[in-house]
Amino acid sequence: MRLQRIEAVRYGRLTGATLGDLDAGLTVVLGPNEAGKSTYTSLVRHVLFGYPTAARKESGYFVSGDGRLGRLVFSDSEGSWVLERAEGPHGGALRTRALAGEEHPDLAVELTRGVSALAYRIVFGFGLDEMAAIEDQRATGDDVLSRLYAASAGLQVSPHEVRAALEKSAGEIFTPGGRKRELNTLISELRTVRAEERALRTRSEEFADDQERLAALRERLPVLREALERSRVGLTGLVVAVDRADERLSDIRDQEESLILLRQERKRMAEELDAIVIDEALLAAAPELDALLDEAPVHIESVRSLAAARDAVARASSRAGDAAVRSGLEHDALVGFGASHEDAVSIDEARDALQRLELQVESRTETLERESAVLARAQAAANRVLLPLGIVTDDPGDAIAERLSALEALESARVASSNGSSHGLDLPSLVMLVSGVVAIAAGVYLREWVTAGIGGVLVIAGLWFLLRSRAGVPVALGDDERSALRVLGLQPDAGTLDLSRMRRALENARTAVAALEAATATVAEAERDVSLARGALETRRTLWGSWLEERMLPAGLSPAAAATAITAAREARTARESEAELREDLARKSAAIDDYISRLRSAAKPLMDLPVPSGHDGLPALVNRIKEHLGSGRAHAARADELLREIRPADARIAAEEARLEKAQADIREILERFDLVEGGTLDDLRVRRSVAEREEAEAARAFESLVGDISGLEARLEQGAREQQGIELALTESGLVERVADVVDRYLVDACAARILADAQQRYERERQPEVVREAGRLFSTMTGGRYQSLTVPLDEGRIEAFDAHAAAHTSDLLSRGTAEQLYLSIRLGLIARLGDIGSALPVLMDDVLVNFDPERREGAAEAIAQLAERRQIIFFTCHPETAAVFSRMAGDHTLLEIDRICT
Amino acid sequence: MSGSVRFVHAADLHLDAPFKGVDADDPRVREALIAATLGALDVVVETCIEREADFLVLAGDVYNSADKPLRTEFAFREACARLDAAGVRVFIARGNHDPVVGHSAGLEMPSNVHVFASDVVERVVVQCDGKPACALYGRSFRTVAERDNLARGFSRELDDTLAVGVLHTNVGGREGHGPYAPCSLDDLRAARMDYWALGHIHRPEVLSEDPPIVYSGCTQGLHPGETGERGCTVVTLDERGATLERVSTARVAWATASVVADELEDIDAVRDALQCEVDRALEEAGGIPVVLRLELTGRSGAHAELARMKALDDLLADIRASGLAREPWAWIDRLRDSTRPVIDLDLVRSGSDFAADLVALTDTLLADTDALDAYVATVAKPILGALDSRDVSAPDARSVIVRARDRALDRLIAEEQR
Repeated sequence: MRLQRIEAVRYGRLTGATLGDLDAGLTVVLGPNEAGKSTYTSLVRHVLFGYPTAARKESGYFVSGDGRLGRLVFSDSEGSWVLERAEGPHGGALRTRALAGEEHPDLAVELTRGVSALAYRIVFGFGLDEMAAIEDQRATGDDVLSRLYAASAGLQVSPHEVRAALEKSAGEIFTPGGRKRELNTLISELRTVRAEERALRTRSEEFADDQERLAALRERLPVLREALERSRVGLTGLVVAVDRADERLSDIRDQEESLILLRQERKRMAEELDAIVIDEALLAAAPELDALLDEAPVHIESVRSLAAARDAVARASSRAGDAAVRSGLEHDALVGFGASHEDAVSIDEARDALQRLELQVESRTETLERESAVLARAQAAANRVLLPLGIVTDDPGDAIAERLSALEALESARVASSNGSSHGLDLPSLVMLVSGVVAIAAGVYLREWVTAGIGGVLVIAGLWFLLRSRAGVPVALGDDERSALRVLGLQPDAGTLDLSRMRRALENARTAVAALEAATATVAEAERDVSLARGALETRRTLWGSWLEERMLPAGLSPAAAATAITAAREARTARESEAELREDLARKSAAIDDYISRLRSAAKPLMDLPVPSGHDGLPALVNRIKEHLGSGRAHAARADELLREIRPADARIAAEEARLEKAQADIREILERFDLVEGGTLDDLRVRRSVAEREEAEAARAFESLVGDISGLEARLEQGAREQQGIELALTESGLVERVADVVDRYLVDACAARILADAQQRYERERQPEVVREAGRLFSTMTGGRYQSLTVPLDEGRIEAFDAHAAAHTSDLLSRGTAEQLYLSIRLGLIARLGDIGSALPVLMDDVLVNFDPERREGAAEAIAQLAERRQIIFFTCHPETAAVFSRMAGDHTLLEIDRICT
Repeated sequence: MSGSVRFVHAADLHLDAPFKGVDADDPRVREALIAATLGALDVVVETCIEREADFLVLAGDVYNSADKPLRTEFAFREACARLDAAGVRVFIARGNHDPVVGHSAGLEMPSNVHVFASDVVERVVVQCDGKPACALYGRSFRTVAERDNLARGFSRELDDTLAVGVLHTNVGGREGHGPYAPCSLDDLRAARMDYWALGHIHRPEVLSEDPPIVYSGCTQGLHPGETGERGCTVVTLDERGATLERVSTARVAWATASVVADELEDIDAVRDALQCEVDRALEEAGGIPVVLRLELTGRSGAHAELARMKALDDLLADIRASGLAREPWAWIDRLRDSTRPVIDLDLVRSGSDFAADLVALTDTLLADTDALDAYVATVAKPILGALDSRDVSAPDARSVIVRARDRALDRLIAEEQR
């Protein structure tokens, strides 16, 4: 791959210029100042790596308008391609297209792989300005020489960079005195955790103190508990004794009160018993009286029922009277009326038959009246038709038939006469009419007014004749016709119209006469039906009168009245029968009551005062009097028995209460004896002792509760401490931090040792194994300087490059002359490029008059070195010195010389 | 004495012991860890009750420290009260973590609790149905560091039908464990016990079948190194011998797993492999949560991605979230990347470039232990000086230098391969 052509489409003063055809090896471009040599060098770099940006400023080569645009044409055996870059954002977009062969979109990437823009500028496309930069850059972060040096040493990564990265990594873990490093943070956290653990231990020691206090308190607990128990036992004895004594005192008081009450009650009962008098005779007769009194309710009820029976008799008599009144018959007639079932049936049949017949007569009479009205209307209608025709006869039908016959004869005669004359179109009249019209039209058209007048005359004449023929001409009348006209009452000149009217009148008359005849027949039939119905009704009424007569009932009695009479007769009979039964029952009851009262009075009279007899109504008072007296006697006897029964238990209770009273008094004495209070002591003394014991027990209890509370509090606190797991959590946290510290220390050591190993290896490498690139540079430098200097040392750190002369004396680059220093830098570049291998192998090396400060001898040496490199790399050497071009002509046999002119603006 | 007895042998409960070496910043995990030792005690109690044990033997280190936390004493008293209600007696031999001489809240323990004396071997006869059933011999630690051979004081009496010895001891002077109450198997056999209930070694182990000399192990693993089953031993003992049954009591399991990442080419593949290890750990834990340590080893194509800044942290966060979403959960305590770039060291070593010099330099260091330690100590001096000595142990210089070499080569060579 070689750069074949450089095209500056829009690029500073070179706009529209092209440089080519470039040699695959060495191309020497000779041109005067301002011919664009440096501009071409920049153009190549800008197309390959991009135009300057705001962040990467670079002066020169601007164009107005659309911005810079450059092209590089590369080619090899498989084709040729154009790399074109137009100025734009981010350095401008690069386009790659094939001029020949297949598309190669990654061409630019492949060409620049491993070479940065800066490295290209310093090593591949440089002028005098960049010559010293190869060393100056070493102090910066982008050590081009180191990178290329590493590449030459078989590495693509600079050992120096690797070491820096490792040191940085280790530094992020730990820096002595650092604060935010990973390890420093962990150490800080570890210290915090341990401080918390120490605080926790202090708290644990407090717990230990609590435990000791708790143990001491627990030792006191049994002593206080025993004291408390003792005081409680003493107090309990006193409390029990006082309570028992109080209880006994209360018993004594209750028993004394009870004795008083019992004795009073005993006395009252004895007095009451003495006051009671018992009627022995009454009690002896009591069974008999009880038996009689047992019957009393029945007889008292009988007394009450007598009044009801009397009322029932009166009501039955009243009902019989009411029935006679309702029937309208005399009472005797009513009672004599058998009112059998057959009678009732006969009455019902008669009533139904008479009602049916009366309805029949009424219905048929109404029909007759209706048909009579129809007949009257038919008569009136017939008269309205017949009178205009002059028909006044009992048999208008014949008259109408006669006239119709005459009318038909007349019409036949008229038809016959009309058939004899012409009643079709009158042809001459039509001809006359048409001729007239034609004459009028022709006259008007031809303005022959005479002809038009004749035409008018013809038209009028034609019309007259035509109308005349249509009206017909009367003919002479025959006898028959005259007779018919007479019958019909028409004039001889009666026309067809008159005949038509006559026919319609006759037809109407015939219809009215037919209706009149039908109505007359219907009325006659209705009259017969009415007559028959009235006859049947009269016959049935005669039969009903006979029936009444047989039963001796009033002749004018209607069947409905007869039915009412039957019902009333039955009710009267029932009432009579009921009244008789009631009167009989009333007498029987009255006798029984009288007997009972008699027996009762006789049994009770010797024993008590009885009320004066007052008939049946005095029975209840009598019974009550006897019951009261008997009850009073019995109550006295029962109360006496009751009192006798109660007096004996009362005596026993009194004795028992007296014994308990004595026992309670003995108990109190025993209690006082137990507490040595018999002699002069009282229960109040015992109560005083109890109060003292209560105070002692309360004090012991308070002391005990206080101790228990203290123990509980300490135990609760200790239990709370027992639940705390903060210590374990802190220990776990500490463990985790220690683990992390160990891990971090391990990582630090690995990184730090790796950096240290790299540093040591670098020293050794520099000392013992000068890389090929430096050796090659040293060889070239020796060639250029004609053996004045023998070798070079290029340290991998920031130290200066050293050149060793033939006496092995070291000369750092800053002490060399400018020309020698430039020869040194050119030697290093050529050495680097020679050893880069595949790195940037297709990139052209552009040198811009870099031999200008060389003396002729060293210039030739340099030209020879460049020519040798050109055998492996494409080199484009720009110069404005013909003698330099001549040197290349001498030193490099196969090369291309391109001459360019100054750019005219 | 006659018949048989059933008892539960547990030891090294280390109640409320702070877990060492774990970084648990998830609340659920922290809560589970804090409750784990007391939870294991609950399981021991439930086992005693369910198996209708005649008594419970605790062979030392019930508490984690001589200064017993109050909360722990209350919890233990409550557990003993539950056993008392169930008619189960409790025999305790104190160990180096909870010797007789030590702070105590002085809580009154239920009447079923007996602590063996610390000055002599004490004999206690357990009765069943009103008859002597088994003689228990035990001795407690008086102080933290009991250096005497306490086993020599044990001797079975002639009329003991069944005899059980209870002791907290380091049998055979095991490395990595405190040399407390040292004794030998012969010392123990000489006492002619039918069963030796031992404590002190946290991994369960049967030292002898006849007679059974048993470390029941701790009831709950206390740090990431205590992986595997942890529990108690249910012993049925009669004149014919002992039948042992293990019961797991741990509430949280510990596990470690190493994933060889040779075949894993990217982060997704690494994540899947780690997920498989999480699944396996949970399955092996048998239904309890797991705290898991993972390490990636081998030469892996994913090494470069893992070495990127924060990549490992992101992967750890992802695996943690996934593990916590499981039920029971898994907490990834640590994910260590020990993968190496796919670099042929021998090839690099044979070269003459900068990388070859670097490898040669580290080879020289690794060949000279003193120089290696001095080299690392020089680098470590500032950071170790800033730390409390108890917080960090001396670095493994060899491991550090090897990983530093790989890190440098990774940046120099593997970086350019990306």
